[in-house]
Amino acid sequence: MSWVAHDVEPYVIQRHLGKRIAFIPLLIGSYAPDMSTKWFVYGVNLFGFELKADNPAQFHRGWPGVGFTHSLAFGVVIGLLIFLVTRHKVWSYSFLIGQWSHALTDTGDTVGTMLFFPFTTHHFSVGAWAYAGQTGRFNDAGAYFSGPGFVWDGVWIVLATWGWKTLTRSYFEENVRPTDPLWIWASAALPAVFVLALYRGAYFYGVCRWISWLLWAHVANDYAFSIVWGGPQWVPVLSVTSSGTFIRGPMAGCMGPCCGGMPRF
Amino acid sequence: MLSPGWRELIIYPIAGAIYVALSVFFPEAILSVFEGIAFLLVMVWLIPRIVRVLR
Repeated sequence: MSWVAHDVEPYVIQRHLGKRIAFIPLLIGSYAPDMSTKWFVYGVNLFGFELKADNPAQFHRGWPGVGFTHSLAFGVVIGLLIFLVTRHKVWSYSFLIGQWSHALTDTGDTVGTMLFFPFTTHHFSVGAWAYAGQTGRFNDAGAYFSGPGFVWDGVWIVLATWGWKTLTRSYFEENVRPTDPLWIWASAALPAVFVLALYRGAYFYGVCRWISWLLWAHVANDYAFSIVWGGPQWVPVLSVTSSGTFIRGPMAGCMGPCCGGMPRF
Repeated sequence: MLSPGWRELIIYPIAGAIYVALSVFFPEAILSVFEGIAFLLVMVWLIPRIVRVLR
C-alpha cells in the first residue's frame, strides 16, 4: 500500500490533463479502493470489542475479500455507474483514472493487486516495498517510512510540488472550477479562501503526513532505515503465491507465463 | 497589509508546521484526510475570520 501517493497523484494528473479532468471525482477515485476497508484491516476497538479482519491482507487485497476494489474493472464499473446516474462523462472517467492510479500504485508492494479481477485472481506485484498491513497501523507506518515506500511517495511529492502552479488560485479559477459544477456550486456558496483550501487539502495532508510519519518513525521512535528492494528487511513481509495463497516471507515469485519469474509483473 | 497571495504563502507553511508538530506527538491526528483538511480549514479560514471579527 502507499501512504501518501494517493493524496498527491491527483495533482500530478490534474497538471497534465488540465480542463479535461474533474478534480473531485479524480481524488475520490484515488481514495476509493481503501475508502471503507482500511479500518477493518488495522482493526478498531468499539466498546471493548476489537473489530479486525482475521486475515487483514487477504481481506484488503484478496478474494474472498475486498481486493476487487483494487482491480481495473472496479474503476470501470463505478465509473459507468457515475455516468448512468449523472450523465457526466468527465466525472465518470475522472473517477476511473483516479481509481486506476491507486490500483497501479499498489502493485508496488509485495502483495500487489488483482488488477484483472474477475478474469483472474492473480496478484500483480513489483515487490518494491514490504506489505505490512497485518502488523497494525503503527508498525505498518514504521515499516513503510523506513523502506523504499517512503522514497516512492517522495517522488510523487516532488512531482506534485514541481507542478506548483496547479495549486495556485489563478490555476484553480481558470482550469479546475469551470470544468466541474460541484466547484461552481461551492464557490457560489462558500468563501473563496475556504474553497481553495478544500482544493489544496489533499496535497497539504499528503505532504504533512509524509514529513510527520518520517519524523515519528525515526525521531520519536527508533525504526531502522532499510531502503532495499522489498524492504524494510526487519518487518514480517507478506506476499502471495501464484495460486493466490498469502504467505509470510519475501517474494513468492509467480512462475506463471504472465510473469515468468520474479519480480511478478 | 499583505496581499492575499503573500498571506497564503505564509499561512499554509505555518499551518503545515503546526500540523506536523502535532502529528509527531499525536499520530492519531494524521490518520484521516478528513482531519487534515478540517485542520487546514481551521487554520487558513476559521482562525483568520475570528481574528478579523474580534478586531
